[in-house]
Amino acid sequence: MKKEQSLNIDLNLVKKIAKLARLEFKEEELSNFALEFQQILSFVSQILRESSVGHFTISRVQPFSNLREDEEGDSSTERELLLEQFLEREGDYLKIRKILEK
Amino acid sequence: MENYTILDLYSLYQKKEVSPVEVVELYLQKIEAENPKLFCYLFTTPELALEQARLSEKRWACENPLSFLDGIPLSIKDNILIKGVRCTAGSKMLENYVASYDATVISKLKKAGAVFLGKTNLDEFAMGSSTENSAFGPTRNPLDPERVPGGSSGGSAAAVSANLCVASLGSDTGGSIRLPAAFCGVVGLKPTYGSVSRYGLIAMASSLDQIGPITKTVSDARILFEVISGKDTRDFSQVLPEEMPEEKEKIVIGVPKEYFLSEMEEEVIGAIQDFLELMTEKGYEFQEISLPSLPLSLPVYYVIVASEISSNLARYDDLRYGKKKVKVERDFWEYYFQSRGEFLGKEVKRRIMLGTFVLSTGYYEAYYKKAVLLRENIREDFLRAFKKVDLILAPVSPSLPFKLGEKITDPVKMYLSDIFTVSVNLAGLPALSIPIAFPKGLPVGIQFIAPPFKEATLFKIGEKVEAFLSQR
Repeated sequence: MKKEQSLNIDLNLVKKIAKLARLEFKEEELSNFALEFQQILSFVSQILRESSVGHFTISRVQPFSNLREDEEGDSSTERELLLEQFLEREGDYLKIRKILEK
Repeated sequence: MENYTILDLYSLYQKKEVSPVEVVELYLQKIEAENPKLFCYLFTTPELALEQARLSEKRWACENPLSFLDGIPLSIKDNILIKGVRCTAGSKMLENYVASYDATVISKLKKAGAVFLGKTNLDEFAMGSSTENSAFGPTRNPLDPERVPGGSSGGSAAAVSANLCVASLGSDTGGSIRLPAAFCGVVGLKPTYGSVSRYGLIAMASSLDQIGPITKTVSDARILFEVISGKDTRDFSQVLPEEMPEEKEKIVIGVPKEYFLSEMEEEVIGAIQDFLELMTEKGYEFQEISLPSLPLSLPVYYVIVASEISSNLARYDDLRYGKKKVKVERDFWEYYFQSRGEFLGKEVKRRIMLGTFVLSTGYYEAYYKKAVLLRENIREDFLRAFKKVDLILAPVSPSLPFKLGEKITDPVKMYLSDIFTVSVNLAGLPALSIPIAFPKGLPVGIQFIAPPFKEATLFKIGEKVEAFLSQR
């Protein structure tokens, strides 16, 4: 864990976080965003100074099953609604963008 | 046109003084005339609404309504899915997305015979407190169109306030039902976390989101809540009590000292003080309580909500939801980055970035894990207080509805609007926002906060408060 210290949000850190977040920023947006991000981070960093914390206990989690019961019935309408939203389609042949690099 | 409540219309339908089709046509005409100025609705669904109204009319003709909601025209916040209807979440990313299934709350409303007039405007992906973050333009407050209606369910609250629908459904993650209800002078309920299914609600923060009613009266909120709540096997985050808690006759109301801040606007403080005096005259007992973890609610909330947002919004890669307009000849990763950069708005990106940062290696322990533990402190404070009092009274907003543009360029200033609401979501509690005064013609709302699953207590006190406020 990194030491709690006042963080300086520079453009390199913003670019690094943006890459993790899969977000592209235009160059002209970056410096303004870095400033806002610094302000927001300073705001939430109040919690770093709080020493008295509770205990998260697993017993608080309600004893429910995580197996869902799916709805029975006709799903043909849903299938068509879903397929209509593909960018390119020929019958049941659906085209999406290439994701494998050469 | 009459400012109908659910109960008013139910009675009129029973007496055959008006029909569902007539009412729906009137509302659609009114929306066409007034929506361009207020922009409550992103779009209407007239064909669906009239088809539902015609079916309702047949049932009423046979004196066989499905429920109190049969033929009642509602608006729905545009992050709740209706099958075959666009659902944009106020975002360019989902501009062309058509829902392929009904949210559970929508299925329940359809079975109850309700009518859907259209989808209402919201802050993009429900992130905001003013509805100014909508990618399609802000909604204006019907009580003063130069001011915000609150957010993120601003379109819903404004539509109810302007009588462009009888009632609406919104969603509340950090105050997004209660704040717009307070800013528009209407009633808003944030239910106990887990009591209303989130299936079909576009997820923002899964441990905080709840769908709830925005209505003209407390009785209407009760009717809507009773229809939309209850077990749903498709939402395994639901938590329902084995037995409903008993209702008490005499209620003691806690007033947390941490909630009354010097930074609040004078009109808000004045309205609440007058209200407390009135309640005391009516025989209600108040007790000062302390919720010591409250001052940290906002930063804790924003760490947790941003973390969950960064996870929930990772799915928006411009491939899965809705046909895209832009054909870009770049490889997948470049396209993924670019489309998210282009189609997601500033506030959404801020929160994704914050969430990504606080969940990243080296910061996770200090921020996210700490916030989760502090959340327990906040919840414990409330539960401890509820051993001494039955309800807690608190402001909804530190200010009257502010002007459009006043806070939008300062994200932290905007976040401070949520100061009184987020702790309720962190603790998973129910809360009811009711308008209590209109200083300078602008509404002030207060919220009653109850222990888990005590919505009945909220409705009971809410109805009494409404009655004696109307006599003043």
